[in-house]
Amino acid sequence: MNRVIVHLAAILVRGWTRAYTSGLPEPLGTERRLEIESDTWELEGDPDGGRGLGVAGQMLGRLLIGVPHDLLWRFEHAADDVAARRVAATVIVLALFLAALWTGGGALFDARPMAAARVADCVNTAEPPHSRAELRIRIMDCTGAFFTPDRNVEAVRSRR
Amino acid sequence: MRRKPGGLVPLEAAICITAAKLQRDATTEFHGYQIARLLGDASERRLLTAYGTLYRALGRLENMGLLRSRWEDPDIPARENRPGRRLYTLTAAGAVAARAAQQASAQAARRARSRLAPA
Repeated sequence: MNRVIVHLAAILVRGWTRAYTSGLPEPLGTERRLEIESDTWELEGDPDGGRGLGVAGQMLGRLLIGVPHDLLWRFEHAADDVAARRVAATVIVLALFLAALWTGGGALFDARPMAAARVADCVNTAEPPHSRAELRIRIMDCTGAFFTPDRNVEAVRSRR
Repeated sequence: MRRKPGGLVPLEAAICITAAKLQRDATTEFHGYQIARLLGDASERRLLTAYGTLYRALGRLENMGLLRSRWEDPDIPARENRPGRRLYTLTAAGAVAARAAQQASAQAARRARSRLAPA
């Protein structure tokens, strides 16, 4: 399992390196790809390479933290080439999109405890259901509470 | 990190100092992962220097003439069944920069110690 995760992390590192080096004049792009390939190989084979984070964690951390520098490096080398600059702009837009997804994901994660609290509130305030039909209605009600935006919680409570 | 004219940013200085230490230990050439490991050990950080940060810094140092690089003989990685390494060497100018960076860091440490010492 661990080997699969490391393999997937290495694929991500290679994929990203290929993306930001594509379209660069040779041998610049190839050299950068070979250098990262060598680094990834050394990290995979280093018994203490993970340093407590795991080899996959180390690879992904190094990849993500290095993205701004990768993009700057790309821009530095694409300054004279319109086509390469276009590729660089696309890569940056893609990176911003991924960053937005990452941040959005974090925001959703933060929002979940509130939703969980609402559902707990919904479940705990009611007496045990008297019939199967009532149980179904409560399940629907609590599901609704989970997906209801915060501003409507009071309205839902008052309806109940 | 804003660069002073003619100066090195901390990562570049750390690379030069580490390369100078390697040279003193009779290791004249090093590759990217090796320097990342040594930098990580020196600063006791769990996460090694990021790919983009490290290789951009190595490229800058090479452009500044403080490092020189070459690709190892392709027969060696073929024999050892691994990807080829780009090997870096500290130049004479790099050794001077490493000494200057080391002196600057020692001075900063002395200043910090004197500030912390009881009056």
